[in-house]
Amino acid sequence: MKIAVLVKRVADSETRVKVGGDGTAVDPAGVQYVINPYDEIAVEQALQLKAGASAGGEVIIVCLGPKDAAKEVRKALAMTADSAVLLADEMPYRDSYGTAKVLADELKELSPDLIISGRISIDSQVGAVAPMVAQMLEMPLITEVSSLNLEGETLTCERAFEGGKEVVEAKLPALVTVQKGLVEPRLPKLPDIMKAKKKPMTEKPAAEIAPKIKVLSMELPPPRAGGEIVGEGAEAAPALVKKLKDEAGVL
Amino acid sequence: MDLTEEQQQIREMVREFAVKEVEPIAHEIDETRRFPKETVERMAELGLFGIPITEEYEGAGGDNLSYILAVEEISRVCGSTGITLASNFSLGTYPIWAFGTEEQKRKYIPDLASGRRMGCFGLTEANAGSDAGGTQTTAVKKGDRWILNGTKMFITNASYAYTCVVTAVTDKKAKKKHQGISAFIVTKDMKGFTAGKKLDKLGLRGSDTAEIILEDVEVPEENLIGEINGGFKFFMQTLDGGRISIGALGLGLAQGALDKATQYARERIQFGVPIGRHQQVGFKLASMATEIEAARHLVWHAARLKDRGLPYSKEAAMAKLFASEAAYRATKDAIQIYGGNGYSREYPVERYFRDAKLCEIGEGTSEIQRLVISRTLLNE
Ligand SMILES: Cc1cc2nc3c(=O)[nH]c(=O)nc-3n(C[C@H](O)[C@H](O)[C@H](O)COP(=O)(O)OP(=O)(O)OC[C@H]3O[C@@H](n4cnc5c(N)ncnc54)[C@H](O)[C@@H]3O)c2cc1C
Repeated sequence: MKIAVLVKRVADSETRVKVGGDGTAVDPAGVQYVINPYDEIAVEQALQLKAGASAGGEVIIVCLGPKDAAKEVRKALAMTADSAVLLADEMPYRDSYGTAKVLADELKELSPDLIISGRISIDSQVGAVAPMVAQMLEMPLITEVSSLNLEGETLTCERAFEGGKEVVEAKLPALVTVQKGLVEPRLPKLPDIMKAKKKPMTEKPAAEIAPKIKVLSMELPPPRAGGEIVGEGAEAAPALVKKLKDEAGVL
Repeated sequence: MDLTEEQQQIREMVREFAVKEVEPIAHEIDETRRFPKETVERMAELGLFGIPITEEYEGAGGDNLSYILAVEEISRVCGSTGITLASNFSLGTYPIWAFGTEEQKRKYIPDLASGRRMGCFGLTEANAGSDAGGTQTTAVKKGDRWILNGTKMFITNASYAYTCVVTAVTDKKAKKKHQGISAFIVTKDMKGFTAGKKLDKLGLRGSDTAEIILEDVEVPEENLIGEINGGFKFFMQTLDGGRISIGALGLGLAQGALDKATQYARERIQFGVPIGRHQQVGFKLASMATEIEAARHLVWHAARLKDRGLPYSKEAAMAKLFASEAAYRATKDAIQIYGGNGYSREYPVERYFRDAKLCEIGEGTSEIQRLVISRTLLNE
């Protein structure tokens, strides 16, 4: 079984990001990058499916990103994925459509049985790429999966949402996007980090596709104001209620 | 200070492990003096015990700097776990790896590199501390065995180690006493080998430091490391490498204390502003950060010299000396920045301070480092 995992490099959520000079993108200076945390879950899920498959399998990482994303791709290989394709992007801005198109073209060639990706990337938070890829490849799409089971060619997934869940089934080939809690991504082991550099990683240029949308401006959320301690114990409750009502306007 | 991509990957992995799995229990193991076996198992699983050992012997095939980075990152959240790792490799594993015969390496290294078994190093005795040549443990030849008698003290990982590399006097009549010392591999299952009382310590309370008692322990001839009466140079060289790892322990502790103090200085408000904006506090942070950066240069530099096969004895002593003293100052100042909270055990910085103090003592005190450095200067 061939499983492709879509992996994106994103700024670490611990980094204090700033908006760059032109006001439409994050300033790359001093930013630490990581694998998008949801994609890391996707990698783990793929590895577990491979381990559980009696016929064995192959996990291929597919990443569209700058050349420097090789480091994040190699981390996925250190988690024990088998090979990787890095579609090196030189465009300063690429929208979801352009991203999906490049990935879908690559995936057509790879023709995997299953494609897994994170439900969303934590930086741009659009969540449109995977659905577009599924559409372009005319594959069944199951989003926000919280539990996954594969028997032969049949994929059964649970989709949990507030207060309930849904169980859905699809035939391979299919694309699923994964939710937190599905599996816990492993830390790469040291010997595997060392072996990762010997694993096949194909780097090729990503086709330039004119974006269909344009970012006009970007703003960071306003800094959080300091909290206030109204008092302690039951005596403080009336003052707290008053503040919540009059000042915060939430009651 | 460029790291290769692999070194960065290793550093990031260890950092993630440290934050997720080591830091959450750091306070508890210190408070209850508990040796965290579960952490040791996880470090074994992740391959941290055999970083610079080749794959053939079940290591990771990495370099020495990667190992040093691992010690630094673990120590950044927990000194106890940092020294457990550092001693296990630099003292428990390295002398067999570097000076052992092929047979000894095949027999012991795979267990140590994979972390299936732990190792320790028994040099210090009641009357042989800084003066390591003052060993009173004896080894007497009887047929094809050596009979060892003596007591080692302050031995890191002694209670959990399977192998212990010990020094013993094999020639009492040697002209210079260090010319009559040999090194042996003893194992826990040998009759007469006991790990004794555990030391109740100021810091590093989640690490194991205990006595090793050798009572008529029969050691087969093939467990001698190197040639007879040649043990002194092996353990001096072992300490050279070990010193880089103690430098990394200090560096990690100092960095951890700085991280915490910086955060605190941003959040704690006095006189209407975060205390970091009071110049005396801000400048403390600046000095700490500068010393830490300097310590990192020295420690990494010594590790890189070792990786390149160049002499590093003096640089290792300098790295250890500077990083240990920087760690002492940084952790002391972190307490100051935390004020009364810094003195409280509810906050972590007092633990960093207690842990850091060891760096100025273990593997040669700061006085001994200065002695080593001055001697190389004067002989150069
Ligand atoms: C937590 C911990 C872990 C340890 N782990 C190990 C281990 O795994 N294996 C091992 O073999 N040992 C270990 N040790 C022992 C450690 O290496 C010794 O404690 C250290 O070398 C100092 O020796 P000492 O304690 O006998 O002090 P001493 O040698 O008695 O020194 C006392 C004081 O005198 C000073 N002094 C001594 N000689 C001189 C001199 N010539 N010039 C100037 N000043 C001098 C010292 O600097 C020090 O300030 C450990 C110790 C501790 C506390």
